[in-house]
Amino acid sequence: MTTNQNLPSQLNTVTSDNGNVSEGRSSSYASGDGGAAPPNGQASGSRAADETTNPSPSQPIPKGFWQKLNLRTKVIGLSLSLGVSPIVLVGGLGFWFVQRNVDTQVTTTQLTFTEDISTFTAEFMGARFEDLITFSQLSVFADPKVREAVTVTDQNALLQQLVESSPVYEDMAVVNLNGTPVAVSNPEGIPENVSQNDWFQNVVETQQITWVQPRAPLAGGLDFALIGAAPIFDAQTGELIYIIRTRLDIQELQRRLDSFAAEGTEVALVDANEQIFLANTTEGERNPLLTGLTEIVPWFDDRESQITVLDGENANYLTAYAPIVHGPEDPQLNWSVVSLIDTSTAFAASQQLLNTLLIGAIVTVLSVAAIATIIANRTTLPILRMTDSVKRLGSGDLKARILTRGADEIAQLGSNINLMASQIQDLLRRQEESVQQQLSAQAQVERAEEERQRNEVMQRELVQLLSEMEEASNGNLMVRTELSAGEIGIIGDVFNAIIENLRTIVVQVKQATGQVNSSIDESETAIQELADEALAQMDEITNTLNSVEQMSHSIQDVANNARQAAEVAQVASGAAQDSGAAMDRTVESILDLRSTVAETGKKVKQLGESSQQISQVVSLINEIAMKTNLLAVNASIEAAHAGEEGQGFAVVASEVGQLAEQSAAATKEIEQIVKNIQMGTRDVVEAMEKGTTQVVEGTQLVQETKQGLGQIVEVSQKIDQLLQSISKATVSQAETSQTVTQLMQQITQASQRTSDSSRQVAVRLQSTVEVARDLESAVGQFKVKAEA
Amino acid sequence: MNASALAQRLIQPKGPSGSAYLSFQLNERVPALLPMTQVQEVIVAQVQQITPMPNMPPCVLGLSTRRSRVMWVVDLAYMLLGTPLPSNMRTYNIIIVRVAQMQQQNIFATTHSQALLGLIVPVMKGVMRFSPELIQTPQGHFAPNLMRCLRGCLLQQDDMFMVLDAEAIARSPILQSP
Repeated sequence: MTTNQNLPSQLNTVTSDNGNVSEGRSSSYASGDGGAAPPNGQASGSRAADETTNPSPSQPIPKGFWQKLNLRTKVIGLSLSLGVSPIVLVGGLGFWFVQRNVDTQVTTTQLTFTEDISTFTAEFMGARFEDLITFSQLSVFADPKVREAVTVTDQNALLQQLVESSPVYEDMAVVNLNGTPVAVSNPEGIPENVSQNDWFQNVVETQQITWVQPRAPLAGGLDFALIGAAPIFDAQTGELIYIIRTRLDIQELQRRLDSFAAEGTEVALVDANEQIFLANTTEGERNPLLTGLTEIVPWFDDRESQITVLDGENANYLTAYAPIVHGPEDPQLNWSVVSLIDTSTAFAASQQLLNTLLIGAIVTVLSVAAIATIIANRTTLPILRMTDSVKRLGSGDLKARILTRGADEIAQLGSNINLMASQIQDLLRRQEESVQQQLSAQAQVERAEEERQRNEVMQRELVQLLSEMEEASNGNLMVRTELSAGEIGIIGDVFNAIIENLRTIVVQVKQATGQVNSSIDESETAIQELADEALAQMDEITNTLNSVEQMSHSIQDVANNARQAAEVAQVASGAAQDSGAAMDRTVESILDLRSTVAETGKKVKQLGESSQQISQVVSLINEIAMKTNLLAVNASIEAAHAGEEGQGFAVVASEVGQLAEQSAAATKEIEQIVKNIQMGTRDVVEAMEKGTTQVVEGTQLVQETKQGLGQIVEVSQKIDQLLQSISKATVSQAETSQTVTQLMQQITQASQRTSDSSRQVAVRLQSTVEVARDLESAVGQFKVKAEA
Repeated sequence: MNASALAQRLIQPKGPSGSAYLSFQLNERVPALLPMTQVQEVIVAQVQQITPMPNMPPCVLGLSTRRSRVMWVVDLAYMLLGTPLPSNMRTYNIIIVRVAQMQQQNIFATTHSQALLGLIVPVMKGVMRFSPELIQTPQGHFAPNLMRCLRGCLLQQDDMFMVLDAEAIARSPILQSP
């Protein structure tokens, strides 16, 4: 509390010296530093000095962004960096080591797995070699005695039993040196002659066990065939007598391979020709990387176990390779094992680890950041608030106070600052009061002296001004007063300005009267022209009026003509309608004619039929006449035989004969007539048909004509309507032309009035000229220019 | 229209009296006559009524019966002029003539004193009467078959009628069996 008493005494010295405040302050600090202050005040004073002196050297040299940051950001940043960096460091190191371990483990596992398959396949094939050796020493084939004792059926049964006892074998056959099968487990499993097959030739050549590289079956089967062959030597003579051939069931090998392969792993067996002959995937879904592996890596030539990661089409694959090495005594087949696994599957464990570490690190960083922010906020908030208040104090707002809470150092600092501010406020108030008292005493003495001097000067200047202004009253506007300081000078200045304004006004009035005179002269001639043109306009309008009347007459004529044309069109329409009715009647009569013609045709046909009946009757009569003639001849013959007595009878008979001849001739004539009638009726029928078609054509023509007449009626009706609208239009035109005439007359009257009024305007302009001349002479009394 | 031919016939005057002859056409152009005394009857027979016989001259159509008597039927135009009848005829006009039985062997020989012979003619006309003196010896050249059966010629109204002899026809060598 001693510091509070120390400060006001220092401020008092400042006001009495009337010197610089900052200077006094620095000296006060210096005295505070060096003064014998109590230990309490010593501590707080030195702290205040630190706060003020520390920033002052740092201000001129900007040290980068650390100094620009505020306290809160610094605290948050520091706590964040202290909290987060160990987590990130430890987590990253841990992840790196663990991942390396895991990757190595996975790679090793994959390689071991591949080598396991290789070893297994080698053992599998080794077992098959031993089997082949055993088969080649079967006494049934090798021992001649037993061979002779056993039938072919029994040999076949033995082979079949061997095949069935082992699931590994699919087919087995024994052939002789000519390539012909001697004994077979399945007769369909081997062709008639195998002497051209490679295994046969190999065995004959080397006399040793031979394995054929796997190949696609020639017969079109689905799987690769694995064929092994062994020579069978005679047990007694030691000669090569037979060759035993076995075909392995590749399905069995694949099943075992499948049981080896883990989920997501692709395993393939590759033969010496670098062809995949066995895989745990089908050909369609096989990875293209696996298919083309032989072209990518040189492992197949090195025959060393290898493992690496290869880039596939869609993903990266961990690819392992292991050669299959058979036992030292067995023939080497140079097979290889290739396994393929997607890296995402293989390294799933390390990915999981990475994920876990990442999530843990993020959570930790976030929580540390949150805690650090909260603590920094809580710590720096009172300091920031205090800084704000001190800033306001520094800028002169002495009413500002700091809200203190608690009893820590910051709270003490705040309460001390508050106390200091209130003391400075009191000090200032007292100082202001004493200064005002001194000033009022001095001012009263000076004011009395000045009043006296000013009155004397004013009187002198006023006399001078009045003498200068005398000329202006005589009309000389060129007069000016001399300008001097003081109130009179201001009056003179005002007077000068008034005279100057007056002069410019007089000049403007002079110019204006001149302009008025000249423009009135121009206007007079223009108005005269206007009056003349109004008269000319009147004449033209009268001409126009006559033309409009003529037009009205011609419109009337048009209306009359249109009315007459309408009447004519109506007459035409009526005539066309009458013609239409006549056409209808014509059509009806033509149709009647048509039916009449048809009936006539029917009757003529009936006539033809009747004439045919007549001709039939006539032929009957003709026949009767013939027979009558014969009878007459016979009668004559009988009469001739009767001699003289028959004479009379003969005469009768001859008469009958003549009658018969006449009737025959008559029937001939009738036939001719009937023929003529038939020809006539045929002509008539043709003519009738022609007539019918002509009637139809006539009907159509009449109907077309009727349609034409209908169109004429429509057209004439349209013409009628058009003419009526024309006559209506002409009536309205006539009315319009009447209106135009009236308007024209009104215009004539208006132009008459225009002419009159323009004459009056001319007269009035004359009087205006006189007024302007009077004004000019009046203005001429003022002098506005220096007389040259 | 002209007056009817029938009416003209009716007013035709009667022919001259004399011997009666049967008039017929051998073909369209050649009219012929046979003495009525040699003619037994004139009939119209169906084609089926004539039974063809083998091994006979082509002009002999076959056998037929008339009133319980058998007679040979001969195509007269084919026999005399060499022009056979059209094959599509359904009825034949047959003149039945009586001919005397000869002592010599004849194919027509029967138990009766007189034999019957059917002569087929295309058209039968009627009976003509004229005096036998009008018959002239044949003028011009005729076929030998016709000549042998001809009794003479009758010229009347621009037509030359062949007057035939039934006996001569019956004895004609053409009818002898070949």
